[in-house]
Amino acid sequence: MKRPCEEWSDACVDAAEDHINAPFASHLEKCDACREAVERLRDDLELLKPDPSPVPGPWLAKSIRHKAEAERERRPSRLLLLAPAAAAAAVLVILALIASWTAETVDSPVIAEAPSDSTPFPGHDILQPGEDSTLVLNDIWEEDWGPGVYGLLAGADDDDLIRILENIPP
Amino acid sequence: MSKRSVAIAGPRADLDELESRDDAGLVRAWRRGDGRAAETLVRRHQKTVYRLVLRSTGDPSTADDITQKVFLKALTNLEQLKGDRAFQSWLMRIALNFSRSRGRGLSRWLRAPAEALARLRSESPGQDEIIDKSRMSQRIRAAMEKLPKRQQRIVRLRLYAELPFKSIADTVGTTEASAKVTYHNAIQTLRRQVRGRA
Ligand SMILES: [Zn+2]
Repeated sequence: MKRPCEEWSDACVDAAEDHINAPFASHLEKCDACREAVERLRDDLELLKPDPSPVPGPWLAKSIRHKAEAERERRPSRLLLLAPAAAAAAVLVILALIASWTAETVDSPVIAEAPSDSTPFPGHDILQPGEDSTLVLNDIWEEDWGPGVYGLLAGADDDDLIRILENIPP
Repeated sequence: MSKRSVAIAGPRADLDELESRDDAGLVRAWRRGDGRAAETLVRRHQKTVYRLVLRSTGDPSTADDITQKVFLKALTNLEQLKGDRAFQSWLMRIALNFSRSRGRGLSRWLRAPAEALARLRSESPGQDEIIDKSRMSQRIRAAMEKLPKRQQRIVRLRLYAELPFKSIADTVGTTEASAKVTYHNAIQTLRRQVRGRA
């Protein structure tokens, strides 16, 4: 079995799905390996093709909407939860600016910095108790963290997760 | 004049107007509290999410439930959808994580003991083809779980969710061409696993 040309690997997929482009069509005329690859891929996709899926019932969208609205009512807005933190950050920036201005006037080098974001990964700081870990997991992949830590995060319950995130560096 | 035409237009026209908005517009409307925008987003993406969930888990009895959970996560945590990131790719990442972790347990559960299958065969001979098909789906799902994670995601998004490669590339964070190359390699590996050495 000859290997298809590497540079046409993506075009083989298109061709197997009947979206052949002109340059690849002319390549296929002279390349047996790519022709075989397309045929094989077609066969494989036929075998791997899952059964037709039913569609969700028309009630689903309404049900999700009502649950989402109820959830929103139940939970205070995250913006409200974040507001005190934002206000604190603003105060720190103002204090830093004042400090830097004062420092300049007394001719001493003080570097003013806004508080840096030391969040282990995006999203974790706004995870509240009562949420499960899946949402946070939508932003991390197993290979970024290794199976150990990922497994720990994936299996952790809400409070555990917050505790773990507080302690484990990225 | 314009006021009057709005008054006459009614709820149906409102819905049509919502349907015509892109995802970002609907996300903004839902953020402002318009529940119909959330419903429109669900209707737009529910088939894709449902297909991914059902085919990943192989369990129709939980597919509705998991699909609901995926959307609820997405709709009630929109603060995490950052910048210009597309709603769909974010939703599909949540769906991949949800259906994968549940799928693992289920695929173990789905491995019915041989005696049970034999009994089913003898009781209803017409079931043979269905059983073989379901065996093959399980085999494919099992082979899928052995693929490297990146390949697994791309194959599931293509074969199960039936997403276009452009959306797959956005979801996994790569280019369309690279997603296709990964897909091609993954299918070759799956063939070896499912058909035996060929
Ligand atoms: Zn070639």
